[in-house]
Amino acid sequence: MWSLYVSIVGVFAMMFLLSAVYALHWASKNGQFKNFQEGARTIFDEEEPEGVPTDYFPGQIPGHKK
Amino acid sequence: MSDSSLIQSVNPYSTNDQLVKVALSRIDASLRKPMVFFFSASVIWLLLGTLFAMLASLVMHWTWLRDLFGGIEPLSFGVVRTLHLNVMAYGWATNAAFAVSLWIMARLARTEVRHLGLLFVAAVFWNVGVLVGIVGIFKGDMLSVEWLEMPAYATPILVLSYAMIGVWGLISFRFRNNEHVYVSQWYILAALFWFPWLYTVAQLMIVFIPARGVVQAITNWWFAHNVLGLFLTPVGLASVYYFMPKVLGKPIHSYYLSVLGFWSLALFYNWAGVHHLVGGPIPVWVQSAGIVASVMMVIPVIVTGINHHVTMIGNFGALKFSPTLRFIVFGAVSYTGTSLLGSAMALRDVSVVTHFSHFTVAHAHHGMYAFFTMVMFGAIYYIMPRLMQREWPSIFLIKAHFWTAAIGVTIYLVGLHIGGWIQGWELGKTDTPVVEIGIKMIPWLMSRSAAGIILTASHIFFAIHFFWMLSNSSALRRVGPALFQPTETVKS
Repeated sequence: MWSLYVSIVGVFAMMFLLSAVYALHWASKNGQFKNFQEGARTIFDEEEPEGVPTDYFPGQIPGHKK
Repeated sequence: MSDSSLIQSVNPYSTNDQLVKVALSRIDASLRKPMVFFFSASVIWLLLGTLFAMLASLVMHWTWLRDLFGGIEPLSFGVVRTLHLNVMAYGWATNAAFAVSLWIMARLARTEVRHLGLLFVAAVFWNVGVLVGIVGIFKGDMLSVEWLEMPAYATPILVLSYAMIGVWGLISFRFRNNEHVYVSQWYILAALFWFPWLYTVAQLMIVFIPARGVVQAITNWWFAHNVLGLFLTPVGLASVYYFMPKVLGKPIHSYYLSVLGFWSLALFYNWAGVHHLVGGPIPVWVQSAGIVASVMMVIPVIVTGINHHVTMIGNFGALKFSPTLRFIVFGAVSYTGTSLLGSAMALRDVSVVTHFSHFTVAHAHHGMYAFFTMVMFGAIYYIMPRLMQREWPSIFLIKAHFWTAAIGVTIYLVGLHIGGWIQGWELGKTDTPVVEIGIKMIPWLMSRSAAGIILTASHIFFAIHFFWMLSNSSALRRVGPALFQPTETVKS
């Protein structure tokens, strides 16, 4: 029975470890760790640009009267 | 392009699809059905879980209620408390986590959303699986393993539907139109990948081919703590990293710190679960490994905390106008608090007091409610208007929801942390009769019930508002890509 557990846990642990190592390798090779501050800006685009807040209480936008 | 078969989408070498950059509003609109289903289910589970929570809390100090329920097994504390945990963890929290994380994934991918039918079917089956599990617990088929109480016959449905949801998440990541992988995507991908690993190993070693002796307990707490740390926490943090800068229109303070926070969490959290067994009959080196990992968690927590809080500096005024930000900031502050407290609780000298007391219960709610649930509320306030292309109908209900949730959970945490500490301290003495300690706990348990009543009101406000919004076709509609732009308001 113990060998069964060791193999189940061992296989899963190895899969987990290898995938983490692969993810780290892929990220590094792909330039994910370069130019960090640019990375932070990728959530903005033309529709929701940087510098423009995007959430208000309904109908309560500062400087705007309904 | 969206007609590609599932096989083509899963196998990276079988398709030559050109990815076209798609507007966010189009992505939001296409996701409406599955996301609204996930959110509606989560709100219904939240109400049901609240009912069980109240029952479990009240029987702890109202003996007449305990006597009244005495002969009815499904209403006994053990069952009702378990129903509360499972409904909240797998019904409310997981449904909300799926919807929020998949919505963020789809938006960050910036391309056509594929295989929505698959996601919808998976969403339905997940909820069927949870329902089967809850009914199983109710009728007495509960397993005596914390966080895995659902009977074994619910597991295949849950695993299968989770697999479909996970595959959908991977497909939306694979067909992304953005070279850079944002930190929220890292967290969500990891969460989607970690949960099936945890769940299958735990099910195999505890339920299907049970291990003997303390190995079960170690597996149990490895699983239970990691559901929080490697599934719900990454989704919560991914949401904070997405919504906080989005709402402010300002990038996160340090992207470097956010990446460091992710990789250090990935490295340390998996080890921490055994701190639940400190002082128990398991090898001391296993306990020590758990304690060391728990203390090492201070690194990702401090890094993440600095990042969130420094991003907010100079922008606290935004809390006045943004409902989402209020909930998200409350959640982010709670994440720092609960995590640092959790690291301290793993230490042997602290654990000897807090373990087996209400302090642990308070700590669980600090993480699951004050952090995770509050972040999910904030996310829902942001996402729903974009899915439905309409405003929330009532400012009053949003404010009422926020303040009752914030005050309710604060009372809960203060009362139960103090009461739990007193309880743990007294239990450690040999000269105090246990009955006396029980009587001493009553005021603190009552404070929990009072907090529970406020939180129940909060959830009712939220549910009324949520379903009002869904059915309110005459609400203010917005056109154009970004919602809440004053120039493009139309009344439908």
